Amino acid sequence: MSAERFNPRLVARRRNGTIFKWACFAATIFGIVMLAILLVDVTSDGLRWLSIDFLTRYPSRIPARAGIKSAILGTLWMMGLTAAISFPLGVGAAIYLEEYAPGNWFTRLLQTNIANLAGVPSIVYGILGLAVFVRFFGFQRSVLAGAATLSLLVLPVVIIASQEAIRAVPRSLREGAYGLGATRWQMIRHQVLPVAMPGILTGTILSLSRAIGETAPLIMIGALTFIAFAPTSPMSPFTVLPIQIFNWASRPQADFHGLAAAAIVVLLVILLAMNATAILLRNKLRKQL
Amino acid sequence: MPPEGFHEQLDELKQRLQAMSHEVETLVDRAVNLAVGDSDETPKDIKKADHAIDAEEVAIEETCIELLALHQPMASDLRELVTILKINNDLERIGDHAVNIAAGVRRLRKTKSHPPFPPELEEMSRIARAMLREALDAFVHRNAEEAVKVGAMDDRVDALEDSVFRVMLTHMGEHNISACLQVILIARNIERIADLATNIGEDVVYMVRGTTIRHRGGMIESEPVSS
Amino acid sequence: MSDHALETRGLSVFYGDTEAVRSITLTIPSRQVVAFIGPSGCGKSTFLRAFNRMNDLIPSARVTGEVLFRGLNLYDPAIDPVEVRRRIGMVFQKPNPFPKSIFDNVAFGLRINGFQGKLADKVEESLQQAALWDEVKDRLNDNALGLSGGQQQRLCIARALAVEPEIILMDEPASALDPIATGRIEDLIRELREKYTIVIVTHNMQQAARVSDLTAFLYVGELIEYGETEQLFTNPRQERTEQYITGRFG
Repeated sequence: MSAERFNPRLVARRRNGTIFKWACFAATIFGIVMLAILLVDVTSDGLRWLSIDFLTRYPSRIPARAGIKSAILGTLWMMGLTAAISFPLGVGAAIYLEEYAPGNWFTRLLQTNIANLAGVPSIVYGILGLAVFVRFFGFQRSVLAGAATLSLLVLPVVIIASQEAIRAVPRSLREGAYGLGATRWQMIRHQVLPVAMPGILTGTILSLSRAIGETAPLIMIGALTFIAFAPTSPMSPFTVLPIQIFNWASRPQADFHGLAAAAIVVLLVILLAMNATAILLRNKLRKQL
Repeated sequence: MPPEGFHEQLDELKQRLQAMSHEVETLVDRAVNLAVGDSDETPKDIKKADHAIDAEEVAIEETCIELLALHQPMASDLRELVTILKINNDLERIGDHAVNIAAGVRRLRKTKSHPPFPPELEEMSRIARAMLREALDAFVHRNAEEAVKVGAMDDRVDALEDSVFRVMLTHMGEHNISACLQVILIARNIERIADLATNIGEDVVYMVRGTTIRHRGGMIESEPVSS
Repeated sequence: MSDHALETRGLSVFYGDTEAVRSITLTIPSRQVVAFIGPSGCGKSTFLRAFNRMNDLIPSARVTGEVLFRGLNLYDPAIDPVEVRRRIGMVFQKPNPFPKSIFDNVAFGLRINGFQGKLADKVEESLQQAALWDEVKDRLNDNALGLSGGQQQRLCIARALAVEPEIILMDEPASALDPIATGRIEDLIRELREKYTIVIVTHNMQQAARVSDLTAFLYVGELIEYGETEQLFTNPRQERTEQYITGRFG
């Protein structure tokens, strides 16, 4: 019958499958091992420097008395303001591009350029921020200038992630709303946005967690490396954790390296917390749907 | 065996109906020949042959209903199936009337003296058989004009039946009354066969045109299916 | 005049260069059920969606001809499609309840259109009309997506009824449902006929035969035959209708 026309070679095929599976596993393990090495290294260096005092003291020339209070507060202010600026701008742009923009060459041009902007090196944003926000708008070397610069940085990602989330809303939902006599804005506000929000928020938080580690653009716009006070308003001067880490790590004394490691641990914890929040938020909103 | 499509089954049904209609026509011929004395058969033979026709009628009806349930035919298919159902029923009744004619002959033979058959009787039976044949041909050919003509012949048969009745009435004085009655009844059965042939013609017109006609006393009224 | 709910005159719908609906003229009488039948791709859904300007949502769609509703051409530039869609409602093939509570689903149309009365009463009335009230009255705050397919579709009907349309368009409303749910939708259509005009697109001829007063047969964008359902299914006038109905093509 048809048995002669096939040469199944089952043993060889299964063996190839197994090899491939283990290769993928190895690739995964590699990443995890590297991450584990980093964590172990950093934690072992910095653990003895971690304490409540460390978190509540300002930096000092004396390692034993140094803390990251100004850096943490600066980071928190920075993230808060960046979110406040980039979220409405990003979501608004995404809504326009997905719902209102006609499908013509201009829209396509816009879309391509937004994608390009996501790949621009962050130092370029720093230079831009210096020229536009610090000098032209006169924000000086303030939290506001830093947040505006970082917003530019994360905006493309927020827009694209939001667009994806909005696009994922099924067409049937929109038709249902239109069929009842909804205007375009009513449909967007009551049907599209609620369904897209988990995706939008996830995308926003993830892009912010990229921004949290940005050093170069903030240095460009003039974040200080040694300040002994916390920001009091958007116009205050400031520093952020990555800069503080960089500062300490570039000093010759080993103690400061330990401090840098401790600060890295704090930064990683904040990062993990943000990502966890993103996941929790997404799950909660999805369950509500 | 895989079930055939609706149209194949419908064709098969039509052929079975045609076969049955041949049987019924033959049965009517045999009954009439028996009546006019032109046959070697006995009335019992006629009755036996009718059993097969009755069984076939049941089988055809069951198949029709099955096709209706399973295939929900529409338009011309529906009309054709409904017509088959009705003609099937009419044919079975024609068979019964043939049996009645044979029964009448049997009773006549038992009487001592019976009147001569009036010639009207023979003419009636000739026309009735012609009507049946033409109605069934109209069905096979799907020809509405042929079918309409059948209805026109029915009036003649009715008139002839009246004549037989009056002639027999006059004979009742001289011959056995019961024998005269049997002759009248034979005529009545032939007249019923002619009516049923008219019905078949009307059914064929419905099947072909989708309009229902009713033959009323010489006037043909046509009612469309819906306004 | 007031016997006609809707009238089309030479209505054509183009997708780009393709003429999906070819110059159809017909009248939909008030308070009756009209069915559109025809093989796939014959343009019946496109034709239906032209009645409430849902084709506007497709960028490449273009409409010529007129759709007359209460004496006005719905495609006149002065007419707002949003207002049209409130008065000519639509139920879709796949039930599409909003991912909200049952109550909010029905109330949505009321809220966006500025309903002036008591929301809860109107929601109950609509659910009653859609023969769904008894099944959901104790769980109005539950998510609508937890309902069965047939219930979801009745919810979509309730939602459409809430905004008091004159005409309800149904695009293959039962094709995603099991036979029992389909039967209930058909019963509902018969009840709704007393107050509303209903136009239903269906690929199921038996359904069209069961449920409609008038049937239109479309083929490749053209109107082939339009008449009383009884007549069309027992003795159609056009050969092509006959062939489609008896399954000789299609």
